[in-house]
Amino acid sequence: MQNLISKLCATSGVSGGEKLVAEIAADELSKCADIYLDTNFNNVFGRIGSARAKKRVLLDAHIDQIGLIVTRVEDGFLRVASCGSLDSRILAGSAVKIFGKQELIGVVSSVPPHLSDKKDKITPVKEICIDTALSKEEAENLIPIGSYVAFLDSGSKLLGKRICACGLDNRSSVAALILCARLIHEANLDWDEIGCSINFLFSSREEIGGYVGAKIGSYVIDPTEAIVLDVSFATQPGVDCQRAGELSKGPLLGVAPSLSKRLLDVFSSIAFDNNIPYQLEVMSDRTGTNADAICTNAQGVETFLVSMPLRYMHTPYEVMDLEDIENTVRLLSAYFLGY
Amino acid sequence: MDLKLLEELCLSGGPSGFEDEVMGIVMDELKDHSADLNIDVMGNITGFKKGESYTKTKLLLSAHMDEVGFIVNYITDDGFLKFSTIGGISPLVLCGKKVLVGKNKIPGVIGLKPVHLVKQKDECENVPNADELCIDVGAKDREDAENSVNIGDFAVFDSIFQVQGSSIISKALDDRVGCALLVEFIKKKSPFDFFFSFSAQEEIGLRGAKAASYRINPDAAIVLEATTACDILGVKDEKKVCVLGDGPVLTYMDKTTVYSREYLNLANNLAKENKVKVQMKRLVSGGNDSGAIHVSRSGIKTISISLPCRYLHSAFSVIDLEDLKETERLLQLLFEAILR
Repeated sequence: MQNLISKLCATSGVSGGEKLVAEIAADELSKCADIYLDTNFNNVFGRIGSARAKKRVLLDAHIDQIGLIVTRVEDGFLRVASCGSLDSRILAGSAVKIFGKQELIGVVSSVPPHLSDKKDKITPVKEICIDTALSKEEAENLIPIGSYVAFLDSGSKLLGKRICACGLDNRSSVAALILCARLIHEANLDWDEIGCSINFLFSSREEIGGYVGAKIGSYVIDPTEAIVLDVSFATQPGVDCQRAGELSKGPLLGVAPSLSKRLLDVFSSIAFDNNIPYQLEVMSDRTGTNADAICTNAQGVETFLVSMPLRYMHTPYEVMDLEDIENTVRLLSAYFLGY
Repeated sequence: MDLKLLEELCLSGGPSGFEDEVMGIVMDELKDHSADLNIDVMGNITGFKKGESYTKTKLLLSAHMDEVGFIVNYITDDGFLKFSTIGGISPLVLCGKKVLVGKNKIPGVIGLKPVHLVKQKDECENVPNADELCIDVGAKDREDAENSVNIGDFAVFDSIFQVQGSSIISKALDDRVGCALLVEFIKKKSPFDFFFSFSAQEEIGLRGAKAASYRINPDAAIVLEATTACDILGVKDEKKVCVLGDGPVLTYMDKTTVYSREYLNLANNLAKENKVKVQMKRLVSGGNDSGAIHVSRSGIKTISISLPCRYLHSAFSVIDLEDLKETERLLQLLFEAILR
């Protein structure tokens, strides 16, 4: 599992520029499902069972990640705009990957303290510049405006089964669904006989608002039921358990006005029966995930949300526990293999 | 220059007081090139290089081995490491960085509260100080952390070593680039005798160099350093301090030293005669081991040659390969001119 996650995290896919990671995910998924890659929107579809099945369950995870996009090239430096809700507090002094005509390394500029007039203020994204370490001419030749920029990933294993990496939001979910697909494929059930199909969707453009990938993808699949997998806040210094789940205590089952209560009962029973630890995540309004878009697809879809706890969301080093991901895979696959 | 050596030096971890790994690399490089290598109480490596001829002037060449970093000062019940910085690190460049803790290089993350949950405007505008942050090594609780980390352990930024265009991107180029220059200089055949010091604890107040220069008792010193370049977008020319690609930086004065005018003029003239690019530092700021060396015993004629370096004291600093070449040339010329 860690290898799959590393592979997915090492490939950048900023919202709208998911091509590379979508291809890798599609390749992995193709070993256990019929796949289709929407090269226009970078949505990855994978299906086990028939498209005409009476019951069509959608399993969605967004595949894009937050990042930056080049708006101007100036004297070997880049001006950028953000793709997704980027945390400007982590920018100064970070290394990035620039997807120009070739992959390049950049460093987010920071003014040395003795020259800064606003010593302790964070520089907003529109004022930062990225140092390409190239000459004016080299930078202009190699980096077209509109090139994507992502954080440099040097993720690693932490103590126990915890890991840190860039883009665990939401590659960890993509990895979990690929593993689910493998288990379901290996179980070799007759889905036509059962009258059900399982439709995987790795949707693009979640981070930039509008849930474009999920909206279009769910329209194509036309599901009768949807389960969205994403990450959610874990407790950490400054974030207490009133607002977050806990790392290593299992997946978070969503409780919200727009989410299916029936599926909540189903998944909590499966967890209970199979000794899978789980937590509840209660939301009073929007979930802030693809579930918000999928539940209103066509004539409405019964939708459920499962989240995995993650620390330091939207920073270059998000932290998760592999055990939570494993338990999520167990929970989701048990739902289908119980048929 | 041998970039392999520079890479090895940059990626080794050695904040002030914990220079052992760097020391090991330098000792290994020099073991066949100096007769009396010595590691003193402070952690300085000092030695003598036999040249082809004896000189009346006893010259010291010096570079510092330490880098800025962190020290673990407390482990919370939840297993998070509280830390202080070793040397000057702007709180601006701490958040969201990966660090390696201790000799075993345990990876950890300096995390912060997700931006989605930050409600107060000033919380997203103000930079958290080091004492408000902590390192997450993935421990479940204090006991779990204590199995791998001790209070008093050091940490350094995790980084890369990348050559791109004519630049090098890495951590700790301040002053591993000086160390690399000095190692290569010592390994070369020298026309004259000289003394050298790879000093410890520069970043916390030039402590190693004070002891090293007392021990060596030189008449003159050349300090090899990296100095702040602020030649980034939006900074006025006069505020840039120095500029990448314009050659090594000569300083007339900084916060710790007024440099020898005689050597400064000599260096400038040599550069002009031999068409070596040099630039003068445009701001009286910062300081380096010269501050300790020039006031050693009864005073020592001192000059520093510095490489312009962007973002020093952060995880990813940048220097220019041309500057490196020009620095090597200037060092050779100045060395011979002082001792001739």
